[in-house]
Amino acid sequence: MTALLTAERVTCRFGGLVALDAVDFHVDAGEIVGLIGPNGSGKSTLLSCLSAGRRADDGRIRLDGKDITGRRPSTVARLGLTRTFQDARVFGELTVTENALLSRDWTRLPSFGLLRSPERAARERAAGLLDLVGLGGMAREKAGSLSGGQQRLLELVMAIMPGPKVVMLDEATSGVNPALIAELSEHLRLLHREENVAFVIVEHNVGFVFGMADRIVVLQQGRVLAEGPPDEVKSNQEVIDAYLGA
Amino acid sequence: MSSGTPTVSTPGAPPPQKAAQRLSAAPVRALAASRLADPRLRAGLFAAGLAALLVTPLFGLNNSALLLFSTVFMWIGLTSSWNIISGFTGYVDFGHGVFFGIGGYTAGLLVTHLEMPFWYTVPFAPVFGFVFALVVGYPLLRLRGVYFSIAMLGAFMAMRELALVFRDFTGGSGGIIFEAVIDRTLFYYVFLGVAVIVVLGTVWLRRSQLGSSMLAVRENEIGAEARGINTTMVKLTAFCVAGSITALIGSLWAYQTAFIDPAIMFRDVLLINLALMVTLGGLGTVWGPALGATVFILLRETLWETEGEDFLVFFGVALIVVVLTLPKGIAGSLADRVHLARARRAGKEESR
Amino acid sequence: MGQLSQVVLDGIVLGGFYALVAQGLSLVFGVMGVLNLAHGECVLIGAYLAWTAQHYLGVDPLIALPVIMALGFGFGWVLCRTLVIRVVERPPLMSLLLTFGIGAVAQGVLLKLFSSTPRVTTTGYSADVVSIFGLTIPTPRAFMLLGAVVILVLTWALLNRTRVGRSIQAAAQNKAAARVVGIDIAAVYAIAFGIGIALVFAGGTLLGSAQGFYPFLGPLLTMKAFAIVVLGGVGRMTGTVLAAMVVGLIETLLASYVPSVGTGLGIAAAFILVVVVLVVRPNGISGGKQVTAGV
Repeated sequence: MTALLTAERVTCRFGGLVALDAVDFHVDAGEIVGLIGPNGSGKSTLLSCLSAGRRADDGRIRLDGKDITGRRPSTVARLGLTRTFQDARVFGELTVTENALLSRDWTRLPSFGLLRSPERAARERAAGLLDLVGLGGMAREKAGSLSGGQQRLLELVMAIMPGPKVVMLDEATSGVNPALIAELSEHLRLLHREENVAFVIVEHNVGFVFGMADRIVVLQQGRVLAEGPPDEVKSNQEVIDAYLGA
Repeated sequence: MSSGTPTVSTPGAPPPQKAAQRLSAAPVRALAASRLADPRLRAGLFAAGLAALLVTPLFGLNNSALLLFSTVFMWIGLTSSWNIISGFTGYVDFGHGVFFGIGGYTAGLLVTHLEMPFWYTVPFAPVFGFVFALVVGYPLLRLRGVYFSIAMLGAFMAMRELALVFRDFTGGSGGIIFEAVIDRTLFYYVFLGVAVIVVLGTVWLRRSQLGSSMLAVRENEIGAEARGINTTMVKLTAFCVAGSITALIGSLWAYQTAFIDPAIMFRDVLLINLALMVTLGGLGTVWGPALGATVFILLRETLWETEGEDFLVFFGVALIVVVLTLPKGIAGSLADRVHLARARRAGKEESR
Repeated sequence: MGQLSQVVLDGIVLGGFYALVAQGLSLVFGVMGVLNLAHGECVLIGAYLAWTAQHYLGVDPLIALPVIMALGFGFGWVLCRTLVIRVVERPPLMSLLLTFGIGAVAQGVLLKLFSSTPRVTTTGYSADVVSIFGLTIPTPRAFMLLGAVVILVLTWALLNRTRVGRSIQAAAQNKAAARVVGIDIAAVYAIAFGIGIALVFAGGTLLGSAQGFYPFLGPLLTMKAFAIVVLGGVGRMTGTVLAAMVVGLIETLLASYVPSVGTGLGIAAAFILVVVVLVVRPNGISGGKQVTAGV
């Protein structure tokens, strides 16, 4: 079985600094992968390279057999690889529903009632997803008036909306009230089950990742230090020394 | 949004009870504003206003009144189209007058060189505006906001230079004179039609997917791109639409005036007026540009009759004052009120 | 051949003036992020001050220069403290509109005071020429180049060798960090703006005796300065000087070698150059701050 998302020998340099050094990475369909590592280990850079926000200096990235290396970020998103940001990027001046619907394709001309069904389907899907994460009651509010945690949930809905194959979450728990983190992981599990989507979770909150992930990848200084099921990684001496030990 | 009542009273701050009084006065005004937010009322007002404007010329307005009205309509069209690129996507086009000039010259050149009847040339103006926007916009819209703004000012000045310099083709500073059609009523309806179409188009745009994408580009381009929005396409579309509408209006204006030269088709005052009217009405709002244009033209007609240097000083000062005191414009401030009222009502219902 | 070297020399002289004016714009933009659309009008205010000093008081522009620069600093400082400071760190549109308004007011006032007739500051040496290697420069233009070089060198020293200069550079690079180490950002802004306006007042003074000027020249000067700043990369003094020379040379070459239309194409040429450069090298000739949207 070939993986859904594969990255081969992805390399990324900032001037003289090598942020990613020929990293191999893959995600299988429906899997939850936790990506951890100390600050500056290259987690966020890998995520940016995969979602095409940053052009990799070397390496190949394939999604579902299709080469997506060097494509526009919007193209990658449409092909089924979406992401969230560390600083949840919702659009404060749009309503919650408008935010959720942003990934619709605007180049399709308005159908003026003749072919309403795709539009209606998108609206129903948005309403359903917003209900699922508990934002249904705020659909007509401006996104800027939501709390930090609610904005994260909205961004999650925005990433799920187009029906992607893989969603990558950058620091999903940062800025979220600790009491609500359990709720967040509940929402994630629910979405994972309902949508049959694979998640890549980049996290500082080790407890959260180990609770969620099927497989953990540990990065250190731009290389893969260890990889495997959570229990195995937890007991890996190298990982404990480099990262978990303290 | 919440009225940040200070918990620690500082010497400079107003005493708490005064703040409370201000709050109690606000709901009345906010209520009036929130009525305006009712879409049915708005549509009704719009239809009534439009009907009134349609029949107005039948009551024998004199020519100067007709001209005043068509000037207002023209500016509503110009400001609303400028707002699409500058307000919705946030890429402020400081040389938008270039499209006005291109429209006028498209008409003038086709009439003089190909001897086309004027009305046949009208469809060409938006086409040339569109093409120019495409060619110039593709490289320039890659720039960050401020650079784009001033590079467009450069495009504007460059085109004016070209119109002056290639005098064999464009008539240079002598300009082009066409056959005059003096029918103020005709232009009244033409410009009314343009204004209505552009404003309704803006209303539709703001609710459409394309409109949301434009606002998303304005707020966070990288974030918008991550949501699958091809930001280059969105910006270019906005720019081309705005450019072709403005070129169309430029050609119509040229026909109304029956004379073009570089100094009037590419005039600086157009740029100042656009910026001032839209800022006054509310940049990036749906109704703000139309509101700003109307208020501004009527104020100018009633209060100010001068041209030349006094004009420059007056507009310069007006622009500075508007920027410093009313950065969101009339429509923007009104919208804030509506939200305040809604939030307050929602708060009351919750507390029950 | 002889003619070409003369044209190149003329281009360098013009480039020196442009460098001075563009450096003022670049400094303000680099430090505050404000693109001053009244920049060209400020050049003209400097020129009219020098003209007034010569015409009414009989003071030579070169003697008046330090005083005019001091006035420029004061004018810039006041302008920044009263108006510009209110729009820094707000959306760029606000500062564009504000400075656009200031420019319109300045143009109107200049028209009122001096009419639209072109003026030249005539001095005792207006008609003299300087010859070097068989090439000639009118003496006022030679002073323009010399003055520009001296002032630019002094500016470089001020920015790189003094405490104030280093504060300005620090603020340009990282405002938050500059605040943390105790730099009063508002004061730095006012000083930077003051220096920027002093530079353009100087440019105007020097220009005024070298060629005719009139109130409508302002936007043209702003545009050229902007084109140079983009070409050279924001905040790079060497880049600015280099780009100024390129623009000056293109202008004189066009004027001499393109019959009849060449003299009127300054902006068009500079603008096309900017577009080409931005397509080929999005960060300007010598790198520097990023100017593209990053997507």
